[in-house]
Order: sequence, then C-alpha cells, then structure tokens
Amino acid sequence: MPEISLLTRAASCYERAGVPLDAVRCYRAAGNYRPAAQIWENLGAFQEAARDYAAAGAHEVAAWIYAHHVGDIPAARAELAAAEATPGRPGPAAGAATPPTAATRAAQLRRRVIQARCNAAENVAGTETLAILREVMQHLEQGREPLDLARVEERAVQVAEVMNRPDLVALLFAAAVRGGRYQAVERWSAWSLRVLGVPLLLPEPGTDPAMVADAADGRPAGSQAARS
Amino acid sequence: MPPRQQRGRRAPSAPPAGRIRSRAEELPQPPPVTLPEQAESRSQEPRPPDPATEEARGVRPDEDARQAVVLAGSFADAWAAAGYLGQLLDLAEAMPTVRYGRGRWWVVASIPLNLGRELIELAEGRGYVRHGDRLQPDRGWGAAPRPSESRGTALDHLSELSLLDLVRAAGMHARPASPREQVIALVPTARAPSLLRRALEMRLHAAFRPVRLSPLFNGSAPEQQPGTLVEVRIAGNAPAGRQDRHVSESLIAMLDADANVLLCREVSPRLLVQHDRHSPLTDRQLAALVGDDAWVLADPPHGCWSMTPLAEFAGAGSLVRLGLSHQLEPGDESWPDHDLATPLPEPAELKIVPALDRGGPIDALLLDDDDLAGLPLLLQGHPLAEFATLVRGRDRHLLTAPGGIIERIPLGEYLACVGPGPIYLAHGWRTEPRLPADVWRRLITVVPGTALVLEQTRTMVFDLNRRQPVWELWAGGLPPFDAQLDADADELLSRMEEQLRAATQPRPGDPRQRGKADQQGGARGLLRRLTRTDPAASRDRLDWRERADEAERAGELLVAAKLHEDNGELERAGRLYERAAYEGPGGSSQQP
Repeated sequence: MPEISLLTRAASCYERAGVPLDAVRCYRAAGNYRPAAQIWENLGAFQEAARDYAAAGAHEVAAWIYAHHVGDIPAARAELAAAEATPGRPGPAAGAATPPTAATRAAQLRRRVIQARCNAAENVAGTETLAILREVMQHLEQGREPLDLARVEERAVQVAEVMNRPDLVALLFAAAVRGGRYQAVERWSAWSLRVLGVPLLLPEPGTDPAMVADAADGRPAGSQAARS
Repeated sequence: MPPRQQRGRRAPSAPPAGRIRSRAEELPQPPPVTLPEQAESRSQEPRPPDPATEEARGVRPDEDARQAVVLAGSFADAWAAAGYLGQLLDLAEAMPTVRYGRGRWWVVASIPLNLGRELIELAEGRGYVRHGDRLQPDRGWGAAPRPSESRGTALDHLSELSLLDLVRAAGMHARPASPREQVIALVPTARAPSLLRRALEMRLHAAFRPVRLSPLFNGSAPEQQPGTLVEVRIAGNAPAGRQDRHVSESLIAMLDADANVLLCREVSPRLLVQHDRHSPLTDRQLAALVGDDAWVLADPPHGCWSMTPLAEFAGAGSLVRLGLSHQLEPGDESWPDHDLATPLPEPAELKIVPALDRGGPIDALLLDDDDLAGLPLLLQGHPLAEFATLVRGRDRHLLTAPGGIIERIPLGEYLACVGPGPIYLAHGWRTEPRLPADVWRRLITVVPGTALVLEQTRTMVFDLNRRQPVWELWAGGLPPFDAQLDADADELLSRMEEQLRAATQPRPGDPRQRGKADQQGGARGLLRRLTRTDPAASRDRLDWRERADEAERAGELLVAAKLHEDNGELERAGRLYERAAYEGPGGSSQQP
C-alpha cells in the first residue's frame, strides 16, 4: 500500500511545480478525489472533474457539472439521485454551526436548482422550473440563514440564462439586492455589462416606491444599493 | 374552639406529629360518647381550619391519613382483589393477607390510609379499617372511621386463605401476543424431534431438556404420579437490532393451535406463563410468589404445574443423526503428489509486461552510441546539463539526474525507477508478477554501488563509480596549464613535485580521477595536497544537489525529496515523494 501522506505531498509538489496531471495521478492514487476533481475543473476537463467529484462523494457538484458543463443530463439526474440518497451531509459552505434543518433546507434548494438546470436542458417541466426559480427568489429576498446562497444565486442565474429569460435573471438579482445579499449589486452590474453590454442603472434609494415601502417596514433592503 | 372530635382523637401523651408512630399508637383512644350519625354529620360538615393550631402542630390537615393503618379492601371478584394484591406486593411493608367470606374477597394490609383508599377505588372495591377484630367501613375520605362494636364486619367470619389461592381464583386473561425473541414449548417426547427439526430448518436457536411435571395447587393428592415432558426453547438467530430476530409468528400460531403443545413465555427462570395469558399481577409480582420449584401457569386444558428439570439443555443439533455419507473415511491416495523431489511449488517466471499507467515522470535515459553523439546538441544550455550524470557502458549508456530526468528528451529509451535504489525498468512497463519494494531493496544490496536496468532478456549493470558529468561530453579537456610564476619559484615547485611523486606510489584509481588530476596540472594538485582538505569539511561544502543525490542513492528518498522541495525543484521533489510513497521512505527514519 502506498503511503497516503507522501502521495499527497507529492501531489502538492507537482501542483506547485505546475504539472497538474502528475498531481492528479497522485491524488487519485491516494484516494483523495476532491482535489483531483478541482484540478480537472480548473483545467476545464469537466467530464473527468464530474467523475472525480462523484468518486469523492460530492454528488451535487458532480450533478451540476454534468448538467451545466458536460450536458450529460441522464448522468446529472443519476448523481442528483445519489445526492438525495446520502442525506445529512451539509454542503461545504453550510458551516458546522448551522442547525441541521437549515443545512438540509439549503441542500434541498441547491438540488432543486440543479433539477431546474436539467429541466431547462431537456426543455421539459417548465412550470416546475419556474416554481423553483420563484422559490430561490423568495429565499434570496427573505431567507435569514447564510445558506450558501451566493452559489444558489449564481446557478439560478445560469439556469435563467440557459432558458433565455433575462427577465428572470433580473428578478433573481433584484431579489438578492432587496434581501441585502453581499455584493449583489456588483454581481448584477457585472452580469449586465457582460450580457447586455450596458451598465446597470438602479434607482437611487428612497426614490423607488417599493424600496421606500421596504424601508418603512424596517427591512434591510436597499442597503446594498445605498452603499453602491 | 376546635371541635371536640378532633381534640379527642389525639391522646395527651401522643408524640409530636410528623414522627413515625408504631401500630399500637395508631389505634385511637376510646371515643367520647356520641351517636354514630352524630359523628358522621359532624365530620361531614366542613371544619374551618384553625391556622394557629395547625401551625403549632406543624402538620398538614391530612397528616393522619398518611400514616399506615390496617386497611382491608373488599372485592366482589377475585380478579379485582388480585389486582389490588399486586399493588400491595410492591409495598414491602404492607404484608398483605387474603381472606374470603360473605361472598367477597378481602385483602388486609398495613398501608397509609390515603394510598389504600386510592388503590381500593382503583380496583373498584370497598375499604374497611380494622379496629381490633372488626373491620369498620371507611367513608373513602376524611379521617378514619371510629371503632364501633355494632357496625362493620367481624374478622372471625372471614376465613384466611393464602395469596396463591387468590392468584389461582383470579385466573388469567388472554391478551394478543407480541412478537417474541424466545418462546418455550412444553411438548410430549414423541412430538419433540419434529419440532426441533423444524426449528433447525428455520435457522432458529433451539435447545431442549426433559422436565418432570407435577400438578400445582394440588396439595390434597400427593399420590398422583408426576409425568415428564420435553421443554424446548426456541430463540431467533439474528443479532440484536435486526428485524428478523423474533421467532416467526406463523410458528407461534402453529404451536399455539396444537392441543398437545403448551407454548410459554419465560417470566423468570422459575416461572413460565402461557405465552398469550396474563395474570392480574404483573410478571414481576408473580415471579416473586414462586416457591422452590419452577412453575408453569396456563389455562385449561393445560393447567398449572410444578416443574423440575431432569437434565441440562442440549442443542437441537444433538438430535440430528448423520447418514452413512457423513462418516469420516481415510483420504484418497490419488490426491496428494507422490514423486516430487521437493514439495515446494515452482516460482513464477519474472516477466516484464506493459503497464496500464504510462503517465509517470521519467527517471533515467538509456542511450546507445548514436544517442550519445546527439546528446550534446540537445543538452547544451539545458538546465539538465548542470547536474545530469552519465555512466558509459560498452554499447549502452545511462543518463541519470538527482531526482530524475523528468524532462521528456526526445532521445534514447525512457526508464522509470522501481526501487528505493537505482533499479530501472523501461518506462510504461512493469514486472509480472508485481514485486514488493522489499525485493528491490534486497536486490540492490546484492550489487551495491551499481545501477540495474532490467530488460526482458537481460539485466544491465552500470557502475555508478564511473559516473561523469554530462557536460564532459562536449566540454573536452582544458588547454595546457601555464602557471605564471617567476623562474625560481617554478623550479622549486617542480623539484618538490618530482620528489613527492617519487615518494608516493601511483595508486590504481579510476581513470576519471587520474585524468582530472592530470588536467588540473601538477601545481594545483600539489597545493591541494599541501592545504590538506578535511573530508568532513568538503562534505559540508557539497551543494544541496550533491547531498540530495547521496541520500537518493542511499535509498533515503524522503531526505532527498525534502532537499529538492526546499530548493525549489518541486517536480523532482514530487517524483521523489511519489517514489517514497510506493517504495518506502528509506532506511532513515527521519521525517523531513
């Protein structure tokens, strides 16, 4: 049996030396599939990345890569089913301090977004996809738990883009801004510049009647817009 | 002023309330002469509590009701009486006795009045308080009834019975059986083998023993002959926590339907109760009543029995008789080998076969003469030229570098290291069968100081002492050495050198060393000898790559890897760590 710690050290040296494939070989020989998958992902080898994520037990990430990057929807749905079958494992961003209910809800939301991505790729179950996106908006706007929402938002935006629905993208970003999500306005601006080619124009705080109403309710909405 | 009744109830010599009083003190003093109905009506009217008096006594108004009195419960049916009895058995100091008379069951015990009232009411009986030899009816609340000669029931009219009589009269009731991990069946001997075989077929734990049974509750007919049965214990086979660890319900139903089989549950080692029957007493209370012999309690037609085991439990397997084909027989002569010189098997031939994984780095190059001619063109100016070394052979030459060549130079045959020492196979090939690192370690101790290149048909051996820097291939020798000394000094040095050469015999060293010494010129060699370089000091002056090379050749791969890592040769460090992972970190135990 090879010494696992030495293999990991070798892999780390290879990685620093800029020979990622040798590092991958060592990580996989050490049974340490997640860093191998991350190297594959950075290299853009998504098929291998998804395979190694699945081997590392990160079925959710594997499902998203299969659905979004590889386009292998049956494999994505299979990984999603595997992720459902292994509950109780919180995502990497849902910290240990998060109560299990919140972590479970976050995992469910992430999986539903992947479900929506699969639906969008196969062009089926449009109603369910819209319902999922609406759920994401609700969570972005009203959810109080730090539930890895940045990634949920990013993926939901990608789903909406795949569906060719910039209006949904705008609604998602607007929900994040109203929910006071960190740097939501910056992300929206970047998206607007990248996709629409025009800078984002948000109403000044206090001028939009909806946001004034929010402020009257004592909600933190619009604080991001004020800062930007 | 408090009512007279309360005052009269307490004797002047009574100890302060709150202490435990003996039963004699519990008996009240003779009452004042009042008509019973008068007392009844007085005690029924709500007495206003006198705070001063109550506080002086330091007791709550119902204090007296908490103290033990001799209380009798009267029940119309034995079942209720037995239920009450079971509750009393849990109170160690109650000492219940059972009486029967006037068509009712009576359970007499010393018990706190409050508690007794609750329990009697729970069992739907009537309470009586004993005064002397009479039982006075209790109201069920308030103070205990007064003694009276005329009212109540005389104790003499009630015949005293044993507790068992009540248990027997109460009988048992059926309750749906819950799944059980173990059941016990009492079967006639003729029926036992079939039951045990069935249990074996169902992969249950089964054990049996013969028992002698004599009727219980039958003291009047001791001349009756005891009979024997077989007690069979059947238990689930699966470990605890599994769903199928219970005895199957179909087996229980089948045994229950058989009139010849009595199916029991084990309450305690000395009490078996029919498996779906329950006494009004709990199992624990019932088990406490069992005498010397074990009991079997069951409803008719089986009845109750006293049971004496006649032997230890034996496994059901002991009832299985092997057939003729299971007998042990001498071995077949034709099976073992007979005419072999040595009984050891032939070792497998070592082969070198293509490996699946060909992505690994390259540790060394095997060059022929043509490659050697092309090497200067490729390596001049290449970083490898700084530290790669060449071992020249007859028609094959080995190019190595500390930590491995790594670069895929388009020349020669690629080699990969397979051992902690310098043992090489063609890159992308492996041995068949695969060999542990220990084999390579032993192999390199057979021929120390050499590098081995294993091929399918031969093993090439390169003497590592003949290594030369690869740049010597194209650097050539130095031009003649011209020491610019004045004539006297030159002459003096030349003479000294001649004398020294005459004094020291020319030692047979390797040609490379001698050649270098010649190239360096006599004066430089002389100066070096005059300064007498210390070997330890020269070792300290070795650069890190030479130290790493030494460690690598000594098999201390971790030391070498750490040196490479610390000096920024990360790829070679990675390769050395990888080799250490597969081939062992080397003899040195130091972890970098």
